[in-house]
Amino acid sequence: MITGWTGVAGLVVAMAAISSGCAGASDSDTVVVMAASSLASAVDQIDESLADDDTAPSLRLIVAGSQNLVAQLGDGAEADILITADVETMNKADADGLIAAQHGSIALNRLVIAVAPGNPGGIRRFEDLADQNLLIGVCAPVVPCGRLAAESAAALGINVAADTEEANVRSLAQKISGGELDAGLIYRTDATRLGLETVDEDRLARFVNEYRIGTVDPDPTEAVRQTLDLLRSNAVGEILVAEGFELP
Amino acid sequence: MSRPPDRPPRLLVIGASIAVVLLALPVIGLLQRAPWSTLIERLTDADVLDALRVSLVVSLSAAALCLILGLPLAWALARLDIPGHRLVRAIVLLPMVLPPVVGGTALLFALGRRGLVGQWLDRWFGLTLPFTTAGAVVAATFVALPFFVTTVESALIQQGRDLEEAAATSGSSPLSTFLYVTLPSVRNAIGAGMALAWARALGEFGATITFAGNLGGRTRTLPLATFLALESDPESAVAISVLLLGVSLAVLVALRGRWLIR
Repeated sequence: MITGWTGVAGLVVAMAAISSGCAGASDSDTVVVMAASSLASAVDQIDESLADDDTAPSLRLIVAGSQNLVAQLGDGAEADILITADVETMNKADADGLIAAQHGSIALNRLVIAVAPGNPGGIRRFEDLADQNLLIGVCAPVVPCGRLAAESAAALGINVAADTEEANVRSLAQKISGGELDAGLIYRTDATRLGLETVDEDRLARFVNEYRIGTVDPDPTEAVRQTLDLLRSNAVGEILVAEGFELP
Repeated sequence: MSRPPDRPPRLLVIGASIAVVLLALPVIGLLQRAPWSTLIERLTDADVLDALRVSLVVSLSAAALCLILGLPLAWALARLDIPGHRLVRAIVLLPMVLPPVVGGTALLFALGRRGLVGQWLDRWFGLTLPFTTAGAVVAATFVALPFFVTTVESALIQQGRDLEEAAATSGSSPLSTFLYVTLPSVRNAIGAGMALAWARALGEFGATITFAGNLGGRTRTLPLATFLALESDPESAVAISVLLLGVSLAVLVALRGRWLIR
């Protein structure tokens, strides 16, 4: 048993080590990035592409629904950068004092009508989504994808006969891909990822969600600034475009 | 050192107290955050009342299905010598260990439009279970059935066959024996099993949202409504949680006197 001052010294060192590990994100070289769930696959690729780069800061990614991320920040979660799936969520975070500064948009995601493999519902136009006999899915209006879908339906004056309002766009895309739904309003990126056929794209061209990026700390560290530049770089832009996003 | 013989062991009392605190703290936390001043207004909102109605319809239907399907199964497990007995028991317990979303996904693979059995239901009868209230009932029954079956089965095993054998020698038919001797002898367990199954069905989320989807007035139960409210209006989420808590407590307290042991 280590006794006396050796023990105390050992304990202090141990506590210092533990506390530095648990300290706020800005104390270490890891940059914590919160990203909207529709960016999941893109941020994974970005993280992988940085793995070999020694000059790039190491990232810790938190991927969840945009509102969920903002709620986590509100509850005191540690993060350096926030990327939301639409302007409204970022503005709310800003208004709640959770974001120190906004840094524009890094990507755009278009709304598309995706149909089940083989298009069993024979859907060709947005109007077909009002058919009560078909199984149609949308995202819940409280999530960015759902808000966009509701906006498009209202703008085009069509009453979508939705049979489900999914909590996130991935599960919606999955159900369309599995043939359980005849069609749904999802993001272009999800349609691309699952190889789903889309219809009537031109009319939906103006319904787009902007992915906004913001920093939490009013005085971000060098690593955070570097990450911010990285996320807005051409290299990352290429990854995003390959996923089906558009650049602002 | 002498101690009065009927004083409970301190260790057990401490353990029990910690357990109670662990269970009570989240409830206290919830009640403390509840928007009491706007509670009535939030709970009488049309969407919340819709969710309450769907929840009650789905959970009560599921409890009834558990009774109808669970009684024969519990009886079979307790009284019959089934080949592959262990496998059957494992299947019965499976919904208890499967993460609910996995359960919902599995239900889609089985009963969805492109599912193993579902595709025939769709093709021959035009019957679609996903995205319907019936689908929500199926999902709730799937997760709640094991609770009912295990409760009744263990009571049947404990009860033993003495009463049934006596009835048989008196000339009672097997079905009559089951209805008039076996069932009454385990009525407490049946009540407890139904209460457990109903409570599980009421709280079901993952399997419901995956299999039945989420649509107000049709499949959006209180837990689904809470989850969505968390995204946009956390205070409403807490209000709905308080409602769920109230409904559950009301029923469990009402049943306690009649069905549960003691």
